[in-house]
Amino acid sequence: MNIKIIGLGGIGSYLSEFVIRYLNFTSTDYKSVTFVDGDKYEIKNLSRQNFKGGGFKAANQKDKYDKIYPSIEFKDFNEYITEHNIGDVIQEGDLIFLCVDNHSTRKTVNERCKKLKNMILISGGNEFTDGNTQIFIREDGVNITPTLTDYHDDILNSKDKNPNDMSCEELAEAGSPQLIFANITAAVYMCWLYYNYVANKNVTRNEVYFDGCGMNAASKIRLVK
Amino acid sequence: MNYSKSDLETMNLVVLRGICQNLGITGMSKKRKEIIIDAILANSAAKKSVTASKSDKTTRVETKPTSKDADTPVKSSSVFKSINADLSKDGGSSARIHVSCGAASQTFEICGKTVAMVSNLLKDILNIPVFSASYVNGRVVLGDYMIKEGDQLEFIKPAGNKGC
Repeated sequence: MNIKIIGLGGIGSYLSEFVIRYLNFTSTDYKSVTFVDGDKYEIKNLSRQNFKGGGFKAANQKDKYDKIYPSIEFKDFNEYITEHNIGDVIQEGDLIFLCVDNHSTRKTVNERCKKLKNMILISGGNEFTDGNTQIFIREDGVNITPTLTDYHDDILNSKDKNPNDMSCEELAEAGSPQLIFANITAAVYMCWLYYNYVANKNVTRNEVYFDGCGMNAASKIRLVK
Repeated sequence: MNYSKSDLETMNLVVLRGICQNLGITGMSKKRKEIIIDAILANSAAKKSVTASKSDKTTRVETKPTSKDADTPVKSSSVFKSINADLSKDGGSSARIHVSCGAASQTFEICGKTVAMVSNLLKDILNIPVFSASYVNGRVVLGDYMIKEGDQLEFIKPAGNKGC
């Protein structure tokens, strides 16, 4: 199994740490971990994101984990996901952690995954204090859980743009304030979705909403459509 | 003044935030455009709604349910009592129906009410978005669906968008 972590900001930079540490000490059922992001770390990201130094986020994370876990093969892909390059990134049998900040990319990845016979896609996103996570699994060409868009027309019909297609003004506007706690909560629930599947083969509850200010979370039983 | 969604989509953020100020909508200074538009449309819909005056108390509710409240029958709050009184009007079964939206959930006496009515009355309690799909027992339903005993109602909350 090859692992792809797409988006290395507030969610992905923490999820990487949790997942890689877990895999290193508990599993041999993976071949490589690929970091995917076309963005670069900046000083302003330090308030929420888990990194040191700068440069491309994917390359930065690869360098970091190469030193910590030399027995694991890490790769970096320093581009945003688009319809043109997604075939190079997501392939048959992959485990994908999708930690991006726009529905356009979620939709693109979801469409790619629908065409694969076997894959696991775990996606998370947040607003300022709340958010949700979903797991979409295909086994032998059959959907085991709903796709990311089956219950979310907001992703299917989103008008937001891929970061590649955004102007500087649009990128600045898209960078609305976020809270590190919401990012980390999303990362943790993505890890739980992963764990419940690999350890317990349990995907009955395949979507989780959380609300930091409400101090609660709720899992949902979504049926395949 | 009532705004259409298409009108609002042509306006820039500065204008939209100005409209929010005029309408008394707070907390929009750092929100994304589509969220601001939804808030303006929701505000307009609330003012137009015939039932808005009936449920006036509910529109002042700003407190989200806590984990202590989640999945437990509502008893103490006078606001919740008021909402339950509204929901219980016109008879119907006293069976409690589980209603959820995102992480928030409560049980209410809503048998015999339509999904649209429940959505309008509970929108502030459960933070139900204006354009959310409604599911009963896992199946999508329209606003005119009448809630029956044993139903579980969910308003789908949009997926979190950010994360990077």
